[in-house]
Amino acid sequence: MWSVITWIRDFIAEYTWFWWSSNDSKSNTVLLVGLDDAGKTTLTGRLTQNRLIQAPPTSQPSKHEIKIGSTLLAITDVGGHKQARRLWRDYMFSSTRLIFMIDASNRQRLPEARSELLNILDDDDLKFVPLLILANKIDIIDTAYSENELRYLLQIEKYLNEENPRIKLCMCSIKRNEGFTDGLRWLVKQPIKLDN
Amino acid sequence: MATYQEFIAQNEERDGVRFTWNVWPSTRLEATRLVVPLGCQFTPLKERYDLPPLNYDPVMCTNKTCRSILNPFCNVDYRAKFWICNFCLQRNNFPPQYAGISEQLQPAELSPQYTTVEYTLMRMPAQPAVFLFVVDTCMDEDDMTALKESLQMALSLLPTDALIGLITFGRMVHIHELNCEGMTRSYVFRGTKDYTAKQVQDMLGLMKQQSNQRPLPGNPNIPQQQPTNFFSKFIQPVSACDMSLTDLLGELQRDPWPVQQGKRALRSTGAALSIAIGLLETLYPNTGARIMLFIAGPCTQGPGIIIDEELKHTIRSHHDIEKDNAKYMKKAIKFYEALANRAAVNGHVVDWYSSALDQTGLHEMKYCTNYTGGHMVMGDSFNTSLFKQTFQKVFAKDNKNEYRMNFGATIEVKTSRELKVCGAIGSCVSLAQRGTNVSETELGMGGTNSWKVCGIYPNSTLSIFFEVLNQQQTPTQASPGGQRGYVQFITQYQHLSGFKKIRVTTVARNLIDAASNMPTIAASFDQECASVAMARIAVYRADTEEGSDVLRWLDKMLIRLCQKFAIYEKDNPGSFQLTDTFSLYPQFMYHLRRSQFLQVFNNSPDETAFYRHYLLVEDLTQCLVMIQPILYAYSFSGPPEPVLLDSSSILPDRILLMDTFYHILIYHGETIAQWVKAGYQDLPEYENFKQLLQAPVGDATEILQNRFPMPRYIVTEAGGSQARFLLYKVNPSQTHTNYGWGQALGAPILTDDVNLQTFMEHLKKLAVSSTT
Repeated sequence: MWSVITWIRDFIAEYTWFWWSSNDSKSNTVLLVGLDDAGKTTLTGRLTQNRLIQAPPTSQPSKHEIKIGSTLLAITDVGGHKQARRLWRDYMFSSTRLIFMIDASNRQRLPEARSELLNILDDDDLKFVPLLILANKIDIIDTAYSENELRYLLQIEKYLNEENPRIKLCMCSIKRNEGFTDGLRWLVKQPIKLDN
Repeated sequence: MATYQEFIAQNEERDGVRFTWNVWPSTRLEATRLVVPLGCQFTPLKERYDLPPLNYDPVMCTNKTCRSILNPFCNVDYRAKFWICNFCLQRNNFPPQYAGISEQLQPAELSPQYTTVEYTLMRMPAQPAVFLFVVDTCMDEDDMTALKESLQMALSLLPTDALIGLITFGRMVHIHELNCEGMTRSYVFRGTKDYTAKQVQDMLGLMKQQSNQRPLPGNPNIPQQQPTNFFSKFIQPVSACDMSLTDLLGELQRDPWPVQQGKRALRSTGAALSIAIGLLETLYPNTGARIMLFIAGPCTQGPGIIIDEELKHTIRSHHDIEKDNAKYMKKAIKFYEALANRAAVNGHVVDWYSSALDQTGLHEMKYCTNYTGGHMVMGDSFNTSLFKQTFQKVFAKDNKNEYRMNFGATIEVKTSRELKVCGAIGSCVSLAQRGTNVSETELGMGGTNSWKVCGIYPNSTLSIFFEVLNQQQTPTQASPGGQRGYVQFITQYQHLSGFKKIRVTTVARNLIDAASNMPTIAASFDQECASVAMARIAVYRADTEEGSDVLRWLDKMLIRLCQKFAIYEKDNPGSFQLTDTFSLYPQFMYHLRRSQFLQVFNNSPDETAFYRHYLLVEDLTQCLVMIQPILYAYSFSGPPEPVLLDSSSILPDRILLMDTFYHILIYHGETIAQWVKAGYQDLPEYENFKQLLQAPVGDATEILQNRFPMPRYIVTEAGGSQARFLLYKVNPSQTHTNYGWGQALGAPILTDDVNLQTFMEHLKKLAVSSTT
């Protein structure tokens, strides 16, 4: 008798997980990280108010709600300065998808961005978390790296060349309102693993 | 005759009062039509070194419903020795000790230059103040070490007769005994339970101990009358226990309970505060006391919980609050607000020293500081100079070597019969004193003419609003000098020296018939005072109303003010002109609309609470800086000068210094930054460049010295990440869309925000339109 109930419970759990997860508010939470001055808050402003905003450096995280297609997403914008990066890990517990934003025009700080990105890519706990890398400020044509240069400089070729890669690199200009929508569409379509 | 500007400055200097309007209309209707309400910014304890020392009690009007204090506006008959109260027209005899007065020998309080005087009541017994440290132990080792050092240092900064106590908390709440030699003992409370004051008393044995030690066992419950040698073992004179307390603080450990991955530390802030308030309520009611809480994260369990321990649940954001999706918020607000009221009743101050990268719950806990005149300090870590210096400044002294902090102030407002009191906005609570001069119309905390400010400082400022009553039309020939209205502010407080003091400020303004004298009233407008008053009303409303409604209200009021006082032809925006008295007001409103006080995007609810707190506390000048930051420019082309808060002020060969009250920023223009990089300042032949670099640093240091809390100090350059602090504050005259056309001066701001010029165009159109 008990085994039947257990079986039924397991059966339901197995075949309805997708239904459950898509209704769980947690399944659509995006954490937006990256170095300071990469354009994270500017992206948030674009997505929530559809306008260009000159924001001060973010000090405490703030959560917003956006719609990508028909999907409702909660997006958390956290500060990118060195001290604030300690918070990223805390917020990963409440997030199922990641956006890492890079200032593609800031050649000087690319190594710093790369090392933060690799920290995330090498983290075993985040192995199954879909990650969108947005390379912003490509409108600054004098100094902005190209997509190929970035793939090489960020050392992410091996991740991008996997079959069904869980990361994607997208070149964009938030100022010009270009390039990030495809990336976001890709991000919300990625399956996620819900274990907590 | 002096200009209004001189008149305003002189009055502010002397009395710490500035009115929105300095000539008042004589009818209620005309007063309400002024758009900006009649009110004042009042700084009760404004620093004054020239006040005469009056070591006697003030003389009061004998009319029981009046009780105003003798002041220079009273009519005095020196021969018959009586005075007529200027508030109720009661005739009063002078007390016997005034028998010797004459026109030549006036007591100071009658002398025309002393519209503000301060009495020190010598007969009041000295009451030492109580300081209770309540310390979170869930923090990093670095933070803990730094905090312990700051607390140990504080022991030496306290008044020598001060009393002190220590509570620590993490998962549990510990109340430490301070009188035991050689060993440490503490009482432990569970952090998940809300203890009533009675339970705290019973568990700590406060009642029992008192009756044991008290010589009069029949009267166990009046702690103020304790013999002076009796102290609870939890609250001891700092002089008696500073050695053992220094050791105790030194041995303080981080909370021993392990924190699992994916969890927050269990922190019982609510229970700890509740116990602290219960303890002082029992032992020291109506005594100056400061409960100083040091927290490194949000309360995660028990009463006052802000967010639970699971990291997968995030602390509420503005978006969650809007969507009514903040699980613990309402209950927490109710909890902290109730505690704030209990503390305020007893005259106890609550300070929050919050040091964390993320929110700690200031949004819910702000009531504790706002109701009691406490400090709200927000930083990243206790191990920063920002915290350390701010904390030191809490115990700062003035030029006379007296502490800047004072306790238990009550501010009572008397008015002549032309006026009634509508309410106050500031860091205070209502004393619900329904005098005859209390208006039915409420603005801010109304229904009273008295407020209590438990923690008061020389800069503490209240906005107080008034209503004009209709006057019987007196024939003009009867009063050629016109009618005058009077306001008297009576501030009683406990000075940290233990003496009770009474500061009395009496002011007078003319009332005139607005129908025939509107230009006179318009000329008396104080646009700076009005901007701060409107900002405070807006922030007060924003606490309970939708942000967009508040912005709409501000816009509507601005348009109506312009419609009434600007000079223009109907439907001709080009003809629109504002007189000098009004010309800066739209600009203040423009910056206020954009400020972090009313725009919450990219701010957490805690940050909003922090910013708003200081707008409700600080004096007029500081509030103006918060609304519209000050920008100075330093260059080789002339001496340092204030420049417009505008993108056109950002030039390559300039150094800028910006003061926003919360931030002090030094910005090197592009060329300057290149020179710095090339190291010109180190070459002897470029000594003048070195001096140029030094100039703003010197000025910034001066600002930092006089500011509480310590602002964030930023040095940055063109293109720097931190330069965004400047870029988001300036008016975006040049943006990425119009830059490069016409004159190419200044720095383009990447924004779609409306700039001041466009804002003014819209304002003009709406103001002159016959349809709005």
